[in-house]
Amino acid sequence: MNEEQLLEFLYLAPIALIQFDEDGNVKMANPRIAQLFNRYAPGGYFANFFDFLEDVLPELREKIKAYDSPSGQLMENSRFCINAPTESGPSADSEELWLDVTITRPEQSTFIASLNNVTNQVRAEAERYVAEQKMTQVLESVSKNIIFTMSKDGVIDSWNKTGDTYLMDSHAAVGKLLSQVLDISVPKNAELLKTAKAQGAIKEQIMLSAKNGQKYHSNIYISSIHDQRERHCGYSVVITLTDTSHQL
Amino acid sequence: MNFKSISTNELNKASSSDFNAANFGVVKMDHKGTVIDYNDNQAKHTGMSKGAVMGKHFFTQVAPCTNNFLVAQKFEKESTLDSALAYTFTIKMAPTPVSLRLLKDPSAQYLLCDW
Repeated sequence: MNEEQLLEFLYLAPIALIQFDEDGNVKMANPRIAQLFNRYAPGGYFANFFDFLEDVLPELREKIKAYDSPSGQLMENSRFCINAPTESGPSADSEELWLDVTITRPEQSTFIASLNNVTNQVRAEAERYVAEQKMTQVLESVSKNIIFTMSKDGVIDSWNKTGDTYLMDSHAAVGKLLSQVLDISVPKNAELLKTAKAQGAIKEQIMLSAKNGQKYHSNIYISSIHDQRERHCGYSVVITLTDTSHQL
Repeated sequence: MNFKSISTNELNKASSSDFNAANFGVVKMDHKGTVIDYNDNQAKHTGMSKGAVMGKHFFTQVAPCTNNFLVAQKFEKESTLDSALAYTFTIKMAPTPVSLRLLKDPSAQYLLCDW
């Protein structure tokens, strides 16, 4: 490997790297650092990392300054958020930039930091969180449907309010098998799960004995849940109650 | 060639030899950002030879530090361009202040660097 190849490798590395001394003076930095820093102070010569952090991430600057061990790892993948300008001018818009920061101190006078842009990952996590909140709202609002999920071994791991109303509280249901919360036998329990897993879903009629003593004709719908790699990872169950006066 | 006053028209008429005679860096690109000429002054200061950069996408494969709204996106957004700005490169990993001119017309686009 020659110097040009080494430089090209460092130039193109998809992570921001910076080396600075205990006073924040920059010793080395790769282009990803410049790509980020120039957004804040166009043309600004970032000779000192602490000066940059003072305006943008003062809490990170304080953590570095507070680290008094002569060598070691200050932090690993600590997450910080900064507002980065997206255009020039006094009324410039900005966007949230999430960075995972790792800093080591190989010797007293040297720190090396990597800043990894994880904005897309954070956005995906936020979207997932919102989706889960919405799903929870939906599940809790359906009054004639007992909805829950089970692990791939058929153990109940979630339970909605309608289940609380008709069968049992969630803390009693979670951790149980179907045969322990419904009037079905252990072999029937196993058969339902096996069929749902093999066919993707199964629907059957059952008689549900509610905790208020009433019995309901019900439809139980069990479907197999898969992860992104199509591996079976559990089941979702919906029990739809019909009025006890309905005859099948 | 004068860094501050040279026009896109003059750059379009210049040859590679003319670029090599300049005392500032010249990167000539097509409108997709692919490097089609790169002078000796630029190679000397960046440590990257002409052979290593020709045919590559300048903003992602040669100088990723310019891949932001200040430089790359300006070329993308504007159909013609003649602007100047102060910038900091990380040449051989050292922060290096430079003056840039961004030029573009229907024929080509140029990044000029005064080191």
